[in-house]
Amino acid sequence: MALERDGRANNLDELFSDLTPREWEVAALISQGLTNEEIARQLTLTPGTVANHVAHILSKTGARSRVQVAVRLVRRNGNRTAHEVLELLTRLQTLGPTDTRGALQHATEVLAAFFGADACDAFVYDAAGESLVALASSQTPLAERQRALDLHHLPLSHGGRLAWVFEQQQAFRDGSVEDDAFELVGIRHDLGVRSTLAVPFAVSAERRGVLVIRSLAPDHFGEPDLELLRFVAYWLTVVAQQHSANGTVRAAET
Amino acid sequence: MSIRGNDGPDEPSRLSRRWREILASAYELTEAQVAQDAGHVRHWLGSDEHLIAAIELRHAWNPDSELGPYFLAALRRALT
Repeated sequence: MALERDGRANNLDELFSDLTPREWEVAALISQGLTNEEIARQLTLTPGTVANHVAHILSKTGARSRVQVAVRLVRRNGNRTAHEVLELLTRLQTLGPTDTRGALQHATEVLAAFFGADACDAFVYDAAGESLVALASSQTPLAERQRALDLHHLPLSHGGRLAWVFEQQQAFRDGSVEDDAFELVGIRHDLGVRSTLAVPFAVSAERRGVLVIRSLAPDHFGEPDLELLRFVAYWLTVVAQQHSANGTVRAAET
Repeated sequence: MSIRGNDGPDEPSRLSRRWREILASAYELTEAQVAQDAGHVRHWLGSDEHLIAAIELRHAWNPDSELGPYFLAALRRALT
């Protein structure tokens, strides 16, 4: 297995062309959100053999998780519709997240990969600090740099686009962020963000925030992407309500 | 086989971040569990049979699943 590849490689066709026919079968079932045991049953293999195939798939494609494999396959197949992404989120939801924070983390990973974005964050309002705080972020270099620059904690008094989205409760899309004088200098210059999609969302009646996706490329997102993100925000609200009903939201808020 | 990860130079006795990600996702474990297993494998002095049994017990894997032997083989490749 060659592990030298960058996990963010974009040439999906080339990466997936290295897969064997059996690995393709396994990858297709991963993209349906199936577990090793379920895949093993479908292909009449042992779970150990399936896990071994999954490890090879991750290695060959540079993906960091089976969720990324699923997202990449869906994108490769061109199924970039609201229905498809919501179905994907829902299917993959069963794979792990058991609380609101987990659901948000899961969503940021899926969305960053799905939109080919450089970062995705779920900011939640912290009343005590009158700030927006990133409760979950994609595991991408830009998101890590954002954290290093302390841009994962945004006092509303500092202004900026996310504060605007949160206060106005309006979605926002921009493909030339460098020209947006309302945006924070840290976002425009230090991070070098060029495109932004942001929508308000609610974890609960009292706990609201902003879901934001960023790209270093200009004009990266279109109007359909904004609509899609609105759907995802709605989906997150539903998931959070389910977790709240199960009594797990408190753990996520601590 | 290369095991170079994204978190700095290889250390023969440690599992790279990339391998932790791969094995955790492939075997439906957490990265912390994989790291702990790597430590057990590194320091194990007994037989492979007993090591596999210990791993299966730890993760509640049925021996018929063959997860234990595959996982141990993958971990050893990663630690080489």
